[in-house]
Amino acid sequence: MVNIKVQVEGLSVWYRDKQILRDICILIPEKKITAVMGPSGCGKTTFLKSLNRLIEIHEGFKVYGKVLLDGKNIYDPDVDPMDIRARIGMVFQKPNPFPHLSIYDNVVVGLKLRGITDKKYLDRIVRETLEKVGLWDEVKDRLRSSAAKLSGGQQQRLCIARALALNPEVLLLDEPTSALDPLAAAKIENLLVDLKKEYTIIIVTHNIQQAARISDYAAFLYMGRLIEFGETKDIFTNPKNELTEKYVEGKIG
Amino acid sequence: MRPSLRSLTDKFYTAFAIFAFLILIIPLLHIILSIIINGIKRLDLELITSPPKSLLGSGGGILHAIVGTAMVVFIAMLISLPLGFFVGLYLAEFAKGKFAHFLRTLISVLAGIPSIIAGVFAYTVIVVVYGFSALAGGFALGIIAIPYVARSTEEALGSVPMEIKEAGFSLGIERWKVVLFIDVGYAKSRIIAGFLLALARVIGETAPLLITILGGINIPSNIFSPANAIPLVIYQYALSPFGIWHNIAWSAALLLMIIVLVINLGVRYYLKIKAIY
Amino acid sequence: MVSVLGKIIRALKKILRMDPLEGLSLFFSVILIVVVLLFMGSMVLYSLPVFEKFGIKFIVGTEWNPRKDIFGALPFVWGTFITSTIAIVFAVAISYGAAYFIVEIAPPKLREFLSSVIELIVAIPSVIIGLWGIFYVVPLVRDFLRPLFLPLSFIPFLSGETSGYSLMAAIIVLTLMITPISTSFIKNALESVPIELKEAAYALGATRYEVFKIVSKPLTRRAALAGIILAYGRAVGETMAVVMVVGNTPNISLSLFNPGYTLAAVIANEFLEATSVLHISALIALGVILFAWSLAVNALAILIMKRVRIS
Repeated sequence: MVNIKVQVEGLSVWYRDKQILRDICILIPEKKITAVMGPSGCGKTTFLKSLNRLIEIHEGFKVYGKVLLDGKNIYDPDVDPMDIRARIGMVFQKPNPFPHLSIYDNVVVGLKLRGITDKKYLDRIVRETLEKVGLWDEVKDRLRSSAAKLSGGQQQRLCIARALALNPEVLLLDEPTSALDPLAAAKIENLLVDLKKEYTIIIVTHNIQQAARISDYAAFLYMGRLIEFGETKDIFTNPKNELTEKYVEGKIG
Repeated sequence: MRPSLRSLTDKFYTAFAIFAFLILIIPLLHIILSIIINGIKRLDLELITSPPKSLLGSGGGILHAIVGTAMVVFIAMLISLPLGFFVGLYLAEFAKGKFAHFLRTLISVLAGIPSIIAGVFAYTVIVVVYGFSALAGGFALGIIAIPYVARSTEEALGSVPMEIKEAGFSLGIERWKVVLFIDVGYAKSRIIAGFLLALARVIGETAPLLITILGGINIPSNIFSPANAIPLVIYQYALSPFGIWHNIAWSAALLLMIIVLVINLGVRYYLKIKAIY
Repeated sequence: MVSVLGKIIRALKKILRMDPLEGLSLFFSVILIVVVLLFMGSMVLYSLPVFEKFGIKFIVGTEWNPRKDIFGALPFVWGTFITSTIAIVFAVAISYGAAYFIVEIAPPKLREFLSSVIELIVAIPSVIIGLWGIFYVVPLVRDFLRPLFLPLSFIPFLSGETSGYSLMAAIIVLTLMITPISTSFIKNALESVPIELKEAAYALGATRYEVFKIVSKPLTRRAALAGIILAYGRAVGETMAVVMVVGNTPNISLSLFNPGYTLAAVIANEFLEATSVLHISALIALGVILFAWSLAVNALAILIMKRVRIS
């Protein structure tokens, strides 16, 4: 019996007069990796950004339906989106460390901007999170140098560390390896499998093999609709929907 | 025969283009060379460390004008940096629709106003109250600098990629913190470059000072006293009938040109080495 | 009543819920608007006395005599008009040629260097150009151009004696100052023409000039025009370089060898010595005319720029 961490109920998202997501219902289990797959333009990224209300910083989007985090709708008027985004970390498609900040500050910028200045505490967080993402040994001697000088794979792991520093419950990843070379991508994949002991992970990917390798549950989105959702092994070996079957066989974009 | 006429036409316009380019570039080179040649004679330590001497003696400097320029430009920056920065920030991050359009138009209008008019404005609101003063000149230059600062700040913040902003918001930080610490931090070097270019723009501005700071030979003791300025000294000495003063005018012009070009070239270089992201 | 109150309360609530930085920057923006309103308001207010006394005669009057408190602005309007108009005509011809040279003829390696040189030249303070004008342009007009055009002095524009301080000297100095501005705009516009379009024309056997004439020039007309208008606005309002060489004599004459006066120059020259209220008011009123003039020019440029973006 698994716990449900995030429950999406009838989620529809419009961008101006175009409907991006149509009535999505999905249950995301706690401390598992859930992969959201689908061809480009199917609404995966929009779906992910609806889960931490990041969608709201863009103009023209309207969100209907509910997203329950531990049973509480994050779109309720009494909920502060800042709290939600702190509890749900996010990693983006293109590694986007803040180039004007040092490696050290990239990790703790979220804490510092919350007014946490205790240096010992920050030092500890930097070390712990960088160790967690396997970056500590590579950068411990140049924590004060610019994050822009790291390689793509290192930058992406730094971005994961930046999200983990806030000690989130859920980690959203938007095609985190698509801009990386295969070796760096494999490192990230292994890291995610490690991280699921502590975090609920939702990863958007259009790489079918990646979803098969690392996820416990998988969802297939197609043209804004959730076509199928279930345990990854079922989705891949015994898909119920014809579209899903075609997709996992690589016959749809 | 047609093709040869066509190639002749082409050659004619090529010749015209080269001629036009030379017409443009030769006088400009002449300006720069004549300032260097005429100005180098008196560009010495005395020029920048001593106040002017009596008319008949040789020597003397423009220390009073250097102090005046520093004062006036400082006041101008004090006015234009906060105002221009926050207006630019508002336009880049918050303004929407008609109000944004109105504000941008206002800035274009302000940028297009002849500088002498800013001097007239400073006269009507500062000089009539405090008299001819460094404050009035600084106010006029500040008005002139505002649109430059606002535009460069808006452009700098507009260059922050969406992914960087999203990363900031995804950390659950309030909007003002994202803007101030992520966006402004990211665009910092370009914003500072804009400040410096605005400074270079107003440091050589003369017309508004002519009708606000009075000139004179005294080193200003405070912002309410009359002052002189480097460009104003160039004007005054250039119109005088004395060769000694002409020499000082040329040297002051060389000094001013060096300051302006160093800031401009420095900013270009600075942005180039900062262009790693 | 109630609905108005409701609106106010809603607006207040909105301000209270506003992001603090948004509030702060909005506050500064409102200050800027107030400053600009104050700007226009105070200029108009100070110019009222002279408009009240002379009415339209202030603008069309040809006599300017502060000692007798008689103020007519036409000599300055004329001087501003003739210098800026002739300067922009020269500037357009030169900058099209120079931009064509930089973009199409100069070796690509030189292109960036030449562009920066031209941009840096715009940064030279105008008082320095004026200084140079006194010592080189004024003698050039007196000792070279006047003798050169002597055979043509039956043309009204080229008649008369000259001390060198003249409309001609002002036009030369203005042309030099504004040509880099329009060149820069035209050059940027020409560079933005897609290479595919130019290649298509070359493929039809067009010469370099023909490609410019049938592809680049029509495509960049609006952007170039906006730059030319901005350069013209600069010429209208330029003070220092003009005041130092134009001769500062309020007359309306056709001959470019005669001294003249411009709106900006007379403000710069007479402000400090003006003692009577009416004189100061008249000078500020000249400022209002100049303000309105450059406002109209800029409005035109903004209008054209907007169309550029759409097309």
